[in-house]
Amino acid sequence: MSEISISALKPGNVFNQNMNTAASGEADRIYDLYEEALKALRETEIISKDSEHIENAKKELNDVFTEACEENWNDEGAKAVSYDTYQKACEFINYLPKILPEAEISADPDGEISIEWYGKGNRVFSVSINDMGKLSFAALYGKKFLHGVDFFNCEVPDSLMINIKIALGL
Amino acid sequence: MENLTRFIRSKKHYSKIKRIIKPAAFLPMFNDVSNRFETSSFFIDELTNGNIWDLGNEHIQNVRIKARADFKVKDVEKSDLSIDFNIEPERHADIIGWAEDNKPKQKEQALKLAEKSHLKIPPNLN
Repeated sequence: MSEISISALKPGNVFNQNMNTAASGEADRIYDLYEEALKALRETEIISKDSEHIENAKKELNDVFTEACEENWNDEGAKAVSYDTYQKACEFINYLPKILPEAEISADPDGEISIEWYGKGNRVFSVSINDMGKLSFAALYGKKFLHGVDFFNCEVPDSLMINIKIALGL
Repeated sequence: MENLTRFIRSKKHYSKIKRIIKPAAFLPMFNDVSNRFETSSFFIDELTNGNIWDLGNEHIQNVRIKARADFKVKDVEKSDLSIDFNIEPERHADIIGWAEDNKPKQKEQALKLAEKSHLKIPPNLN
């Protein structure tokens, strides 16, 4: 069911807006239930946007975590990827829009996880995520480079989306 | 001394299909002894392809070498980095000049160097 069709069921559309005070408490409770259901539906839609795409990225992430979950995984003193960092990366992947192609995923020697997209003509966008959701990113657009920081908080920040799209020519 | 290589220890640090080396392959570690960020590499002038793999296997023994990234000193300099030819062990050099405690800038430096490097796969993994 789409969000538009669900909106038709919004309590405010079903119940008379001139309801009395006694009824408004019940209406509020139903409205809260509606909000919860809509939130759950939105989360389901995000996760199932492109399940194969997301599942492949998660499989890649699992491989990375398996390889780098212990200290010194590269024999050069690399820090382990913590379970919290793995979870944060998993959450980030869940929130990626379906228009993006599959990402390349790897572990950084400081225990963060890198997620990357490669476009045509020397265009790359690379972002590292840590256990707190800090996003350290760098991009290459032909001969131009940039870098910056943002934070992941249950949505992919606009600053990232814009740069990922530029790198991919979307 | 012009040509260098970075031995890659993670299969996730390159893509054989896309023929790319990922920036994570070059990201540095902080060395408490030298008090700086470093990425280990070896200079490979006058070595054959086989000699280069032998060099890697000689010095990296606890993990299997998955690939290597060949690059030139001038590529390092163009990435706002420099080389410390310390020759410990033989032919060893550290890539230095990484931005201090600035992960995004380090990623940009690593991205620049990765973009200029050439991927080589060991004969037994080809």
